[in-house]
Amino acid sequence: MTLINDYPNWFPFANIIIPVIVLILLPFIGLLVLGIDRKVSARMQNRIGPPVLQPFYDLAKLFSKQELYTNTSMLVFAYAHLGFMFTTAIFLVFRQDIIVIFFTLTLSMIFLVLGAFSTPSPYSYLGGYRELIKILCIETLFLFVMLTLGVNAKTFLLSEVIDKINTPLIIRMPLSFVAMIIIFLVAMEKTPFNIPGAHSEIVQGPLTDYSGRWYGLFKLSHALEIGILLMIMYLFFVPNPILGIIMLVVSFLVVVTIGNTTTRTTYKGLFKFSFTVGIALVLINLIAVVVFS
Amino acid sequence: MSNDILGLMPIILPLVGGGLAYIAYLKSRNAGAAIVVLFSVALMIAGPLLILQGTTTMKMDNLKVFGDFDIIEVLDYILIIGFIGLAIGIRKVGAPAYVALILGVAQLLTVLYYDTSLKGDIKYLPVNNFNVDPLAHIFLLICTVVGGFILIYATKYMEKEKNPSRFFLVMFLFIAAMNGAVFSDNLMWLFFFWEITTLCSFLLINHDNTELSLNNATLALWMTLLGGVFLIVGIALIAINYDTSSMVVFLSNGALQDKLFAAVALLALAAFTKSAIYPFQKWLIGAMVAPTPVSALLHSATMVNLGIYMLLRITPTWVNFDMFQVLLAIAGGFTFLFAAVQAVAQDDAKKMLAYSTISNLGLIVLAIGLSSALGYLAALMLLFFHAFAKAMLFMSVGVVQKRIHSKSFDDMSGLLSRMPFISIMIFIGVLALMALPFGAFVTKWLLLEGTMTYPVIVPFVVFGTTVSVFFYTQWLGRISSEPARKKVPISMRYAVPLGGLAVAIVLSSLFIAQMADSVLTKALPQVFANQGDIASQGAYSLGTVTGFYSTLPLFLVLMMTLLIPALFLRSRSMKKVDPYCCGKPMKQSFRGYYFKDILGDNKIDLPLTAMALVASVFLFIVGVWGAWT
Repeated sequence: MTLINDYPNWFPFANIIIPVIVLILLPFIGLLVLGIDRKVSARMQNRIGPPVLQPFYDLAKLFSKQELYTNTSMLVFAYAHLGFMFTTAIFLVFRQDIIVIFFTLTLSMIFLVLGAFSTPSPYSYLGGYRELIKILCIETLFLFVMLTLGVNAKTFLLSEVIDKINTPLIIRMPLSFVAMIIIFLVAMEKTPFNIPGAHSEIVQGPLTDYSGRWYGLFKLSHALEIGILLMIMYLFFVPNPILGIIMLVVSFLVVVTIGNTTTRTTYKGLFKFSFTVGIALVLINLIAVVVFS
Repeated sequence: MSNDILGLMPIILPLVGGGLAYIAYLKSRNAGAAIVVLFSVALMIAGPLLILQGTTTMKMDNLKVFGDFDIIEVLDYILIIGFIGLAIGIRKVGAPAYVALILGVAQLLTVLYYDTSLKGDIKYLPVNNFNVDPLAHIFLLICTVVGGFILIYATKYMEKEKNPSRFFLVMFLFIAAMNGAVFSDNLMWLFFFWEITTLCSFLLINHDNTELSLNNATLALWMTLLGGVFLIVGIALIAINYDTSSMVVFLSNGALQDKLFAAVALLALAAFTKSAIYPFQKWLIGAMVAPTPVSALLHSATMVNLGIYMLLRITPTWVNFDMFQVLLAIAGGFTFLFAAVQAVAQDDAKKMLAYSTISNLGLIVLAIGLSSALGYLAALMLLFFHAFAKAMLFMSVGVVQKRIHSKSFDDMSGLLSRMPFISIMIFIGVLALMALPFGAFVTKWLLLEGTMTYPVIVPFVVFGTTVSVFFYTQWLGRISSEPARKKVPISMRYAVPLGGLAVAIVLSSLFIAQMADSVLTKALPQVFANQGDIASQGAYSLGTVTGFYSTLPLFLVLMMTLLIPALFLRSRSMKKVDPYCCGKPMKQSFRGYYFKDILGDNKIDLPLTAMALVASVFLFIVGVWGAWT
């Protein structure tokens, strides 16, 4: 998970220190990816684009702004969203049970939706519903991928899953990786599936009424989410770090290209796509793993 | 004999309480309420006390009346003739009443046949008529504790409703019958108590005595009487093939390797009717016309649990019969998924909760169908947490309904500021059913781990889980929306039961590993003893399957993220602004998304029921086929 499948034994407390370092780096990686995305997208559209570090500047600015709010409970939900995203990251870097990782991630997203619902703005409300439908579509795929991972390794404990890897998982789970790219595409808020935060339709979607520091919390946990997904995608290429990094870059470019060449669909479009193409991908892979083991 | 009486306290106490409450309510409502509270508290003490005694047996074989006749035979006849009379009495309802009549006659004929032709030949009579073992303990605990809380709540709820005397009499009788059914080793006693719950549910659903309530009560009557027919025919088959009328003797034949699978299939179908598994789900939805405490009781403490009890009890009979296990798991998975899908289309909170109950029962049946130690443990755990959480949710909805005179989600906006206590209870209840770190999550987790042996059920579990997230989150979002309104005070008789259940849920989630080890694993049947090496490896103790997952740190995260911001935000100086609405004044008039055009009851009810009917006929055929191969 941390680019290596075995911690070096010459390094004292490597099994604690390395995960902690990764945990601290994770949001920075996420922010960096978002910055690179803006730059690459801009170049694709023949613009110069913002500097790569723009998301860091944005975040710093957001945290220094005046504190405005519409009601208290939405602020509590913002913290809960970030808190459980962080918990997910902790479970992931310490190689815990992948089903628990799935449930903490989902709970975090649930708090995002609750935050959207708790303010009476119609845009926020509509965004909340769209976010909920997104969760229904995407988390289903994600859970299938997680289960395939567990069924393949005959255990759900991530440390044991990693221990058992001989050849990269991509060989046994190629379609699951394609599903992960779809999940990544949605998490990056790219067209055609950026329906919750469709800013040309519903302002900022679920985050319409958040501003300043509170909006910054969501930016931070979004970066964390990107980092988490990248780590899980990297898992498919353990123990080959070079292949892994190349494939992550390729997936990233695929996602950015799709995002710049498509138009947004409706929530029904997302629903139809994930419950036909998406489910077919993960189910076929799951059946194949069951049959060939 | 005196020991027997003590052991039967959980049956006798509610009977006495019901009788006294009936008399007291005729005199004055306050006296009645006092009696009900008194006996509820006594019941909540007596139940757990009996559990501390360990396995208890009650012989009770000297209850002879009318010469040679055992008391149970007389009681069975009285009850069945009562059903026939009842069916004739409500014949104005039309066809369903006649169906009930036919089913009552069928039961009467079977019991007559049993007593005249079979009973004399039975070699192995039950050693003890009542047998309170660790499996019964779990149901006893749920029934007395949750039931007691519901009764206390009901004293307040029924304050201004009509006819409370009969209401509390039947409620107490229901709890007594439920305890009796899980205690019974003698199958005829089991049948008697089983049918008493049918009668009680009819009377309670028809409490308001309107045309709608009568129709729905009749629906429940004939569907559960059908289950009674399955049960008594199954009992007769057991007597024919195994020469016994005792559950213990029947199960001690080990895994039924040769024949008699028809009987097991019949018992399973009887359980399906009680637990409202598809295609028998309709009556539980109709039961929503009853006062809310009845819904709470039906859905959590009694009735639906009885079917689950039956399945858990006879699990050893199919451990060597893979086909039956898979079919059972699919029946449960089908119910879990499609009840959740139907729940999405409900805008009525009680109906949504009813479908979510059916969905959870399906998940329990799925877990039982896995027929492994892990699945069995998951089923027990889910049963436990579902009972507590669902009672809490129904009671909360009841309070809301009394206040705002609506059960619709769309009218529940801003509940968090209007009724903060109730809203927090709803939050705890819903999170307990769907999210970590609460107990029901642990069962879903165990189940997903269990899917490694049966990958065929994976899609059911996955889709069911994510669909449930959809409608539960929508409800939570609804109650936390809108700016502050005036707070409404809440009665102690509402607050204490709700708070008690919430504390029980949080504590048992916190100590879930200890609870699983000390209470639940004791109920595992002997057949899973060969999987005992799992216990030494610690899977039973939730050790190895869990990594360093423990509920405590997650509870701390939840507390930190929810409470600490809530506390420290108060001391911050922030500027409150209006929500963004393009600069226009805010008009709140949103309805939820219910997808009624594709998922409405009138659209998918019939096809789903038809599919499930075909599936259960198939289940039965496989059972009978098992008798020959």
